[in-house]
Amino acid sequence: MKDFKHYLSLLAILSIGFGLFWIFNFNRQIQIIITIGLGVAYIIWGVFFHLFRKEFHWRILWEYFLVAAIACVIVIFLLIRS
Amino acid sequence: MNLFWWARHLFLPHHSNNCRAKILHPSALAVLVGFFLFYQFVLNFYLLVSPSVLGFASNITPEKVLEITNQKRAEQGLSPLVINSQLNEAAQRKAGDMFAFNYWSHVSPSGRSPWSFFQEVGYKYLYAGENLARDFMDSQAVVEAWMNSATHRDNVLNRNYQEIGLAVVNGTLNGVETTLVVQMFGTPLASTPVAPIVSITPVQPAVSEVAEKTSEAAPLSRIALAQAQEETKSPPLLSPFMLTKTVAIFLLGLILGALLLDIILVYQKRIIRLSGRNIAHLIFIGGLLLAVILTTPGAIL
Repeated sequence: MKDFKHYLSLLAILSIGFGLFWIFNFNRQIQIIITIGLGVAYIIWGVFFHLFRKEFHWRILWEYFLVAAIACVIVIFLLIRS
Repeated sequence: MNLFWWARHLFLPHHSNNCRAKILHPSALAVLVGFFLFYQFVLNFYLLVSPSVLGFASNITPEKVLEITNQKRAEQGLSPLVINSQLNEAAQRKAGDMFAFNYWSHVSPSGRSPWSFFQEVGYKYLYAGENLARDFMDSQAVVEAWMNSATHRDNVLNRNYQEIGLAVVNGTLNGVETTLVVQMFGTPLASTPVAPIVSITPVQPAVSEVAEKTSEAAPLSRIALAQAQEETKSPPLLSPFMLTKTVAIFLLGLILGALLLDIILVYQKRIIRLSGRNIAHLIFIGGLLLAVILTTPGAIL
């Protein structure tokens, strides 16, 4: 799998994010900041991934933005409600 | 166009959706974001018009919080904290103040610090501290959350503290039925053979030290604990947290399912298209779905 190292880097980013999310359990403000950070990191990862593969298009950026947005909006509102 | 056509159009790659499940198109994702925001707006509106229906039902008692707190101290070889009626009263007043002025903080919007409640009930202290919690389901979860936070754990396991006051009070905070737990720690000025300390640093929930010239240790009282317990109710309510969590799991699960089907069918049919990487979306959405599932209600301060 030629994209393995890219996915590995994504897994590393998410693992760090979830580790921090767990460490700051019940500290909602910090958890919200971590969630936003994860969303931004995911969009950046997506952009670089497609740039490396020379298949970047603004439509792809828009897709990564929306995937990050829906996941982050859901988690943030859940944290606010908790 | 029947139901089957719509299901296939939404969840399976097909020529009708440009060989990608419609629910994974940016336009559909934008609609889902809009739907979730609208759902939260409706929930907020419902909280405004009918605040007594939505809230958290908890089973927290001051006695149990005290028992578990002292258990944690005993595990570290520390002496147990004893209930002080003045500290109980201070904790009750703090909880009442948070509900009355609608805030969730150690310091009130008008700048009132936790230490003013100690002074208000006439508790002269050498050491004092405060832990806050809200919306937990039971006493064990409250104390465990405090133990998992360094500053709160420092309060629970502080060898300088001798007495404790507790309040578990239900009320409406920001339009939501809420259970507040206030834990106030103290050491009466006269009880410790140490010279009074003259610096005041009462900002964080960690240990604070103050100077008071007179000492007045209040009598210990179990009656006050019983009074605090009377305030505890278990309202049979719908929790906005659970309503949000249910919809969150449904939406993320829907996207995750569509992504899985898309990955399988695109691989089988060898479809080539310009789009984001499904595996990356799967990892990201899957991870956040896990975070959603593991998130439990409750906050500490």
